[in-house]
Amino acid sequence: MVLGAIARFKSVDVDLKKEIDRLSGQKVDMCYLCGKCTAGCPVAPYQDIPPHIVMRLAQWGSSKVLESKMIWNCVACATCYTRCPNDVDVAKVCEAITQIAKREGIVADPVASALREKFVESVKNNGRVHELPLAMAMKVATKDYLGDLDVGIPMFFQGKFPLFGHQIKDLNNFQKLFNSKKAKKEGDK
Amino acid sequence: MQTYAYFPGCSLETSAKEYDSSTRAVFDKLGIGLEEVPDWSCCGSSQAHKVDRDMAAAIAGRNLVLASEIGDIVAPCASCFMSLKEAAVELEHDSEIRDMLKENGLEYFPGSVRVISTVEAAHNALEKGEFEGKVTKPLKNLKVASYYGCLLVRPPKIAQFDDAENPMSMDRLMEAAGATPVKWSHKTECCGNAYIMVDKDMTLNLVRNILNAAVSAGADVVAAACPLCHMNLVMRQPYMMQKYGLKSEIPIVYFSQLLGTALNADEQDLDIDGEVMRLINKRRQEANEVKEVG
Repeated sequence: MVLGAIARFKSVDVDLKKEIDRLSGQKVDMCYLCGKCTAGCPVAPYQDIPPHIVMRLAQWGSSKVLESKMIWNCVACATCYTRCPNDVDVAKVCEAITQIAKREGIVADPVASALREKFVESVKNNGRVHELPLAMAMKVATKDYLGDLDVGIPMFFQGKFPLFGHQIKDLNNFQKLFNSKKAKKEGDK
Repeated sequence: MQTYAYFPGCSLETSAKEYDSSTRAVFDKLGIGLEEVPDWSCCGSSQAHKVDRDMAAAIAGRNLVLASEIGDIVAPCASCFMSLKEAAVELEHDSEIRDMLKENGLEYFPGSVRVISTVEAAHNALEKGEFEGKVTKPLKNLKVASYYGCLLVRPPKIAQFDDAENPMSMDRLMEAAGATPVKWSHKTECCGNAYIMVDKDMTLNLVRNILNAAVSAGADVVAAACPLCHMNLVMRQPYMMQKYGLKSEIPIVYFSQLLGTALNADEQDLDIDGEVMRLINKRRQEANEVKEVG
């Protein structure tokens, strides 16, 4: 699968590569594909392509990378960045590619996408995360409605999953932070 | 008295209440003040930066501004610690994010606040000799696997604390509490964090590996320093024994609960599981018996 992807999609799209560099704040060309990121990545064995192949496809600017599941399931544990000999933050590269993919309407892992969206929504609504509605929204996203009740119900009765979340006092100003953008956000950096 | 700005984080109000109360109890025993950051908001955790890095730095930065009135900020949750510290780095280098805050009445002065974890704060206290004479109920014979998880020490450039591959600070704290730290392989392996809600099978595989490593190393308990790590490690042990080849169940406690026990903090604040407490006492008794025989 991996070799096939390389053979079939070897095409250079400089614009895509530049956009990945800009959004991630990394230089993907710094990667010489040693594979250390893949060797240490805890989630790589469960994904379609490993992190160093994400890097290779990013260097080519191959749009195939936008379809990868790996980019969505990076848990941002920073093992790759810690061990990279060339100081590339692969997690930030994955993150940037998901943002581009989402913009293009390609979401290879809708559940992972739902997690970040619902999380931010929860923070924005109250200023703090309210775990119960977030967990319930994720149950809907995974269509696994009854899966964790055996764990959730005891926690509910221990008072660890309260029905009502805490709302911060200065919520109005806090919510403005979600709408304010950097003055010169587009284009440069 | 030294006082930190205390940032509990969302989970410590709910699913990890005992981490909050035991942390406060430990620092109280050590004579270090914790003043809660007024009206603190979510740090953004492991998800906000995936949506928009600037927004994530701004919402975490709000807390830094609020904390700067009090002093250096201390966070018990590894994910909060990293989000806040990363924001501090970004705010230092990026005046435009500082402007985003300023527009909303929050002025951040670079370098005005240092971000540390509660593990680091407790370890600093240990190095200053502040544990001396305070460990009145040592955890004799208790074998502890110190689990640091990812973000307490990684990425090292930002965390700037301990060793990224083989950290020892929590092990030293456990030693100071009279316990026996075990050498093991999975100190900093990822538990899968919030992906337990995305890909349960993947996450349970990761958790199984961590727990089996602790069991194989002969640990009695695993000490955690993150509410999400704790939840992932605790939650599905019986199920993992049936379906994922977990060798045996092993109790998971917060490092602050163990420290607090050794420092003789209030039991209600520590809120340690009854079974774990029996195990601690059993190990203490064994240690005493050995002494008598010897």
